[in-house]
Amino acid sequence: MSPPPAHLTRSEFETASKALVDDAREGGDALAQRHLREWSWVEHASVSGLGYLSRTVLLSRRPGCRSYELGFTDGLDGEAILEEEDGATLSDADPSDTVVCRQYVVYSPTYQVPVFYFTIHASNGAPLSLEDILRSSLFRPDTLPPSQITSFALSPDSSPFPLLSQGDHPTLGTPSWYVHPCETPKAVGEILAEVQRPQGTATKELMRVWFAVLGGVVDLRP
Amino acid sequence: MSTYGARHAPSAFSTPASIALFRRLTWEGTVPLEIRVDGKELPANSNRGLECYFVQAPRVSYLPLLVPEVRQFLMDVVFDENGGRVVKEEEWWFEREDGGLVKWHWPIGLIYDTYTTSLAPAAAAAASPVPLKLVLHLASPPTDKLLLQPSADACKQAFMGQLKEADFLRWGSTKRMTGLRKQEQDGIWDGIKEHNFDTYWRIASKITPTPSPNAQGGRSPSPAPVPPSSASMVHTRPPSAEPGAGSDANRDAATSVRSVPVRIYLPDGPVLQDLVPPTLDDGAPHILGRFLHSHLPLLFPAPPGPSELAYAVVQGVLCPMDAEMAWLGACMAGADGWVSVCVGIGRFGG
Repeated sequence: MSPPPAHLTRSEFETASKALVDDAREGGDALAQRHLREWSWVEHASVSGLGYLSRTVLLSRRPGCRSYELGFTDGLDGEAILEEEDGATLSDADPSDTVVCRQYVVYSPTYQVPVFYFTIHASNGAPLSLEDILRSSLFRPDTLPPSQITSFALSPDSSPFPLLSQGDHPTLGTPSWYVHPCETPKAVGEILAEVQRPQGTATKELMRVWFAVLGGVVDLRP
Repeated sequence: MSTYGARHAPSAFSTPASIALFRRLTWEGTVPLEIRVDGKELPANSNRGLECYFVQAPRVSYLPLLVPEVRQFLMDVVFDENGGRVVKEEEWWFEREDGGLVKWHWPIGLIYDTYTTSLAPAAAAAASPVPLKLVLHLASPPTDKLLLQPSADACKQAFMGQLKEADFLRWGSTKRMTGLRKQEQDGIWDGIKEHNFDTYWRIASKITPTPSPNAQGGRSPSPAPVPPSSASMVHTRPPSAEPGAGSDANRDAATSVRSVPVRIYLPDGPVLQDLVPPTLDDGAPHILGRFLHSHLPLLFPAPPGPSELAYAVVQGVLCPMDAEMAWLGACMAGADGWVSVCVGIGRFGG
């Protein structure tokens, strides 16, 4: 029998998030620190109970590094394209290959799990296209499933939901990208069932595992 | 035909006729938009002075879907022969005349209701509905403010995403949505694009809950649409837990959902979302007054009476505090499955 999917309430999310941030700040084990460094808890300016984790990191567009092979169909004409990018031939040679990524961990009231939201801009303020985002150092190479890509979403062939798409940040209301949470409860639940020696409360453990699961696809090292 | 303002409805049972009536009323609702093209961006030789398009737009539709008719208008009335060839729809984007960005992926009715509830009470009390004034830019979408262009495809994806979320909230899975064939899923969006009630509902009825057919009792008419007492006494326990409760009617009943998909929109404020069970722990139907009281106790003191401090608008209509959340979810949700409760400060109508 498969383990129950992992969920948490909004207040559990708040408590566990703050606890993890405190842990990371005070030391704790190396693994926790890597994923959790530099996050801070932010509240909505006037309404309570809408807090979230936030941090800003600098990433690279990865010029000069070999990008991953991605098998995807072009959403427009349906032809399958296997693209192999050699960073050295990228034509958009931006002088500055640093991009600014604002990252958020926000509670989803629909799925009752944390969700990873982000915006990512070049140094001149222009938001990156989805293709450039996938080429940046935000995602770990070779971890994304075969997917259809459009300008506004990355949709795995195997799923009814896009993996990456755009939505309003639940607290700020501003447009951002987010990683769809539909698979999260199952993945996190499975790992939680295997944890031998949980550290701290169940919900803190859930958040810790959630970060680890996310970290498998998104490079969370700051 | 603007439906802004209180509708009068006779006291109604949860008959199939009244369900269809409210769904039809919601579907047919329109709001006034005034879309002015930015004069600086008109192609040469355009007929200046005429570049303002007035439309009663369907509440359940989306701004990117209006682009073709605006384009047609501009071609007919404003542009000269060359103008039509020069403009590129991919570059078009909307802005509010007061400078605010428009959430083009929101249903038009929601854009309008959040606009009117954020107006100062005096302005909101205007005798006739205030048109929402938008500026349509034909070029140079600001890449720092807009994350993506308002294309119909992006809009469709956002819409389908909302439908799936609503499905998930109601039943804990998206089986009903994913159980639809792709053709049917596309058909729902076609219904929106063509603004065809039957096309939309033919498929949507497979995934939208209905108020239970065995309603008991009604309520006396009040000056706003009276959601009938669904009073079906169906508990929120899953049907399989109740012997003999396996019938389709119960399974799809609005009162069997885990949570009604509802969001609260505060004026110029954040969007609130939480679980909304159709029935409370004490067995009473979850009504709007209690729902608002639990989330905004300062604005909505304990029911039964309406608040003196704030009001709630759903689909442009002042919603009575005894409206049942399950009924709202079945009859007055938007086409994307969500009940949008827009909160305004003060008294409705100033």
